[in-house]
Amino acid sequence: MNIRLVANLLGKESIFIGFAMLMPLSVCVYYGESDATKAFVAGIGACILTGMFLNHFSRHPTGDLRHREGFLFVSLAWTLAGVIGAAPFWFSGYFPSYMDALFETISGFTTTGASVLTDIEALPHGLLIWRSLTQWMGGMGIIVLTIAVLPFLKVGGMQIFRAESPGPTMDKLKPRIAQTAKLLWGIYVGVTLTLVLLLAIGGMDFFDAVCHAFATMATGGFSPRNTSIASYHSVYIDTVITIFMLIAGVNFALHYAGLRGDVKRYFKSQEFRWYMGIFFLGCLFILWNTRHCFDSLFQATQYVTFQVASILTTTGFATCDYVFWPVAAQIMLLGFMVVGGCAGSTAGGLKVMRLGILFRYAHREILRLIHPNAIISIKWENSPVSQDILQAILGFFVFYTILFVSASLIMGMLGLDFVTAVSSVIACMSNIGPGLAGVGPVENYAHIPGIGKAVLSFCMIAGRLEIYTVLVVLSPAFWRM
Amino acid sequence: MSVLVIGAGDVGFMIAKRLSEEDIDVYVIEKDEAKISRLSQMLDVQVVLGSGSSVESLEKANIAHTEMLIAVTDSDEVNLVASFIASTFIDIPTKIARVRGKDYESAKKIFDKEYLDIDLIINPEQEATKTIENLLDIPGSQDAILVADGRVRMGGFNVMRDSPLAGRALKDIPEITRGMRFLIAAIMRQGDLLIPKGKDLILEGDCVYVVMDQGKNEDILAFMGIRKRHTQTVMIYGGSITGEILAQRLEKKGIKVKLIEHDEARCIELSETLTHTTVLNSDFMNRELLENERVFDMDAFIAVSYDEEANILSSLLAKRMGTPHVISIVNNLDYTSLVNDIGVDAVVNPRMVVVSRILQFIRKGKVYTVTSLSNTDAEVIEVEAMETSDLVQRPIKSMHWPSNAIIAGIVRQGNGRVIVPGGNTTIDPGDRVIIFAKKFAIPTVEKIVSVKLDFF
Repeated sequence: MNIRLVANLLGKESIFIGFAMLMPLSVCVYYGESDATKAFVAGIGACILTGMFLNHFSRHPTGDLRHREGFLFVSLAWTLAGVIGAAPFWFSGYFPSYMDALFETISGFTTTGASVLTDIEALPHGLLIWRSLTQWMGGMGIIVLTIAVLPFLKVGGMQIFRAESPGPTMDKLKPRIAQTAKLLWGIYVGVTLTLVLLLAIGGMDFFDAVCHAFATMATGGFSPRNTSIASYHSVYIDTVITIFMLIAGVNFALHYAGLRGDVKRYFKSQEFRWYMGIFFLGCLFILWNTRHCFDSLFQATQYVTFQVASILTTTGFATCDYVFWPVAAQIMLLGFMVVGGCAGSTAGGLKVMRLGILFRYAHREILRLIHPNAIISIKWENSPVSQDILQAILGFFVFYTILFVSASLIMGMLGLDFVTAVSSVIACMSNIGPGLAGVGPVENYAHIPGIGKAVLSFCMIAGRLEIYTVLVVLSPAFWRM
Repeated sequence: MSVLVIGAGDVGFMIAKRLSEEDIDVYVIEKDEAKISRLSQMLDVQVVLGSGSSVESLEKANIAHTEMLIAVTDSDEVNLVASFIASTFIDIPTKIARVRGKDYESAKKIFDKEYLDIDLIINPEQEATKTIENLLDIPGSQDAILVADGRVRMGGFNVMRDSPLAGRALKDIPEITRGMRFLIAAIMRQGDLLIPKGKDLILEGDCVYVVMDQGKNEDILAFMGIRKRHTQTVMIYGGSITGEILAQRLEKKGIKVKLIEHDEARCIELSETLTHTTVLNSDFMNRELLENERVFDMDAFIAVSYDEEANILSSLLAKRMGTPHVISIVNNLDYTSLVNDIGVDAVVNPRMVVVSRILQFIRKGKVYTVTSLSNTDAEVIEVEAMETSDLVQRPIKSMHWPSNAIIAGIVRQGNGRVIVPGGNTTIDPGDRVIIFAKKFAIPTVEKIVSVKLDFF
């Protein structure tokens, strides 16, 4: 294990996060928020000191980043991002404990959007934009971003990239990782800017537009408003955000093809068709199920499509409190929390592709019972799924279930009611944010005990890094010589 | 800048590695899933799973925007079809293909511009044979690098305990050579290449690269403690294609060849194609046979059979029985340095030879040859001294020369005399300068010679 190299990279990562804090710092200065300015200056100092400390003890690292170091680096990088990213929150004094600040930051970077704040609007602008910025950076991946902007992070192979990117397979759009990373970030930045513009046209305050655009594109869900998107009462804004949440939940490789003029690629993609299918069928079911909750079909459509898109893409914005919907609709939403968006998007969850392949696999087992001698290959996107990928997906599903059950057990032991315990774990593992009951869309996570916050923070990172990366590092075999 | 490599075997892997380290976009097509996944884990290149002869996978690999095609699969036909597609449907400027089949030897016309239009046909057996011949030209050598059309050579010699160089500092060498021009351009120590400076010591077990001209260099060889006799008799072990080609070429040079092969039918075949060579049939390698055939009187023993282990073991046997120069072909890269350590004089790895031949071909500019030293990150570069560069009209010692590079030789323009440079030597415009450089010193060297050492 080349600890020195990992420490060196972590040091650079830390300094990089310090640089990212320059944006909220300048916002603080612009709005004349002196306390928050101090918090960010101290935060930047903490990042740079941590970075220099790590780099001091790991000067001139030798050797290559092999896949073991890759796993370790990615897991630690996300943890470190949370730990030092929490510094400004903690220094500002708006959070009752460091654990709360850490929970908020990890919730940001992992694009979960679960908050411990009761009065969001009381926060200075600098802290609000930092909440949204952590989500935006975490959406496309901190490490992918670092690779894109820092050329000296010369990683040999794909392992780091793959450890962070969502989905069972990884498309390399360009021959080089750095080019691919730049391209993905280019698309991401472009779509985000478009969204800022569209929201500003719809009458949203520019600052809020930037915050919401960051949170939407990252499928994060942090809002600078106490009542989230509902505070605007605007059909236009609801529609725009619904559409962009759905865009953020689609594989960015498809957007790349689409931007190059190959729009047909969207409809050729099996995952995209399934994703849109799940969305529309889900909307229809919930519309029928909630037909007594709304005044008009128009109003129902506005709220239901928004809510389904928000949950399916794991964003977690809310325009109405779905806790008051019929139970069947709530269970449907809970199911969508597990599904998540497409592979290669900024969304969390199991991913449509994994579920599709799992479904095909289960179907094959039935066919094999009927035709014992049949050889049936599982196909996805018109090509056979290799045994390795299939096994990885099955293993992923098993570990996902184990983590879900054990984390829910702990939450239950901490005294939460059944629905709150289960839905908070799902909402964190799938990086959604709001769950049901005690952690529903108008509630928050402030009342969860400290240990519970720590467990949920772990679930958020494990969910964002798709479990394997984190579990590998935690397994004893990883550390054995 | 984009290159398409077809086939991710050892050769394809090493070429993809070298090119991807130099800011070139590399696409690799390979049909074996395991090789593809290994490649994508280790290298920053774009991989495509598929056959190199299918238009579909070529298109996936961005063939329309490729500037160079390097087809190095194990199959000649796949390589040729890929080159054919590249030259007919898409006009790729440079095409390199590995072709080893004898059938194509007689039909070289198909590679011409009007037909397949392949710029470099590379045959591993022939390249390996050439390398072995170069080694035989410098008796006792471990490595032989030819530059300036063979007018300057670098002989790599293993330093034994009884060598006059062992334990000496570089600056003391002029005393013991008594005025002979003797330059050590580089030292290979445990797989690392060092560019030596005055105070550096030469240790037992090092391989020193000594600059030589095209003559017999008897004084240098004598000084190194190697017998003066030029290679006149050779024993080849293994009737492989390489063995056959080697025997043919050595015959033409008037060298007496004995060839051992275990398969009787192959022996008969060989005895028909070869004229002066004595073909010996023996089921297995044994001491008695070697003694009967007086292996200790041979100038060189070369093991080129298809069986790697047999090559190594028979070479060791011959060495113990007293053959002065023992060369063995070893395909496994991990074995290469090991075999040197246990006493075989020189190891030829046909795959490395192919890789360095290809890299040499695709370097562009006023660079004449670039030879990659086997398994190190160093290169021998030959450039023309330009009027405008910092090389000319000043003594070598007053240049700001990087410490990890050395001027190993100069070929004067006009008379073509080879000069072993010293500190006071000056270089004239138009001279060819031979530089030994470690990879990371190359940017500085580029600046001084004012030539970009880019690929193609």
